[in-house]
Amino acid sequence: MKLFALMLLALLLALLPAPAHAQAGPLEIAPDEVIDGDVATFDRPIIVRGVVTGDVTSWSGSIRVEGEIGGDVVSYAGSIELSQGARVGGSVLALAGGVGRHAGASVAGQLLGEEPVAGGALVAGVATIFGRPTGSIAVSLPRPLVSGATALVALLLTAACAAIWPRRTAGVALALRSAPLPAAALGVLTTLLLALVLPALASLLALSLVGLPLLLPLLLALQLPYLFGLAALSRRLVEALGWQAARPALATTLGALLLLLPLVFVGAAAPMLSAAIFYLISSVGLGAAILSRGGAYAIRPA
Amino acid sequence: MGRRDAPELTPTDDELAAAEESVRRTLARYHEPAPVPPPPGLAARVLAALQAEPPPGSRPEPARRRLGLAAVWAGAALVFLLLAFGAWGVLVNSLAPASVAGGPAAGLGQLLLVLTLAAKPLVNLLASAGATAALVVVAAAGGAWLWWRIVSTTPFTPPVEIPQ
Repeated sequence: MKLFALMLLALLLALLPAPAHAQAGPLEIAPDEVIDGDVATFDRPIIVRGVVTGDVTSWSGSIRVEGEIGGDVVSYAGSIELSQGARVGGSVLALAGGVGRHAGASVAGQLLGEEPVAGGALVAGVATIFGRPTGSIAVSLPRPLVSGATALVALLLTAACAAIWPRRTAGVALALRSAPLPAAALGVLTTLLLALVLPALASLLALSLVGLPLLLPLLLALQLPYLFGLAALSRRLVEALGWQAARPALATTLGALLLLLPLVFVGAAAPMLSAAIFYLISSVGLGAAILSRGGAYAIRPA
Repeated sequence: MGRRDAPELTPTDDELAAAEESVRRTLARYHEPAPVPPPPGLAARVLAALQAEPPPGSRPEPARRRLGLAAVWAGAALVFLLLAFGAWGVLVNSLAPASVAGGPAAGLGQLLLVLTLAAKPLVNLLASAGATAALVVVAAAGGAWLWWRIVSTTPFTPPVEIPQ
């Protein structure tokens, strides 16, 4: 148990640097400063007044260039502004944030993103789930609406899981009853491992170029085990509450509604916290699904 | 004909215990079979009765095996080539893949340039992780080991599902 707690702490620490980095202000390269290499941020805005010999990239942070960049300038959801006297040795791409270019700015390569890039808004949407776009011209939807719609889609898909695999859902719920602690531990561990490994896998896919458009469908497909886990957890919840209905799928949907409704309100104020709670509770069901081999086997109580 | 979600398909522990008790009572009526020692040399006789050669079709023919191996190698080479081609653009020269496909101004060349540039924030952010990446590798390896330990040490019994 101590080992597990230590390992969990190590995994959490390994995941910490990204959010901690996101809290800082704009990253500014001073006029007399020369950066030999690339500059990359997650949602932190970048202002280049000096020289960067490599690329300048950001997921959802805006980029303003007043100095010189030897490589490319790319932002998924943030805007890119090329001021007078800005010089870019490579190409410029803004997927959804738009590019503002002063007449006195020069770009040696291609300038892409002045017009919206096909599929760019979709990719930028994923980027903005993790970080709010800065200086973006993209229109953002109200949070309560997004939170409600996401919960509704999750509820419908959970109900579909319970209706399509009723016996498997019941098997996983049975595993949850037999071994709740190992199931919860395994589920949380699986989620933390995925969070650690996914960026590296995504980078490999992106490197292949052909794999880059597959990233979004794969990310969406990855939600299915969590929704199945949520269905099993909901079934266990209604069993624990004593709601033995003639239609287990309907009872499971009610259980999922009970679990998802509070998340709608949390999501309206703090989307990331809501998402974290969703994955945490779904992980419990996911762990039971892994232990019971998708609900096919019963767990023997220790 | 039963429904897929019929609750009787997932019996409770009490129902399972009652069913087992009922089976035992029924068997007792016919003098529940008592264990008897197996006849001497049973295993040896069964082994002797088996064919020395595997039946035809159970082992892939050498030509088919060679073809399968060639397909695996071809797939691995294709993945390596794709990664090398992409890495050439993302890490060395972003215009290079586009120039192979007719230039970055339009068409397939421009699509390749967009893909190359779009890969950069993802790859560069990971590359900038530095020492954190080492911690991530260690934590992932330790987590994977713990994951396998939990999975392999939790006892389970087949089957929950009742065959149709």
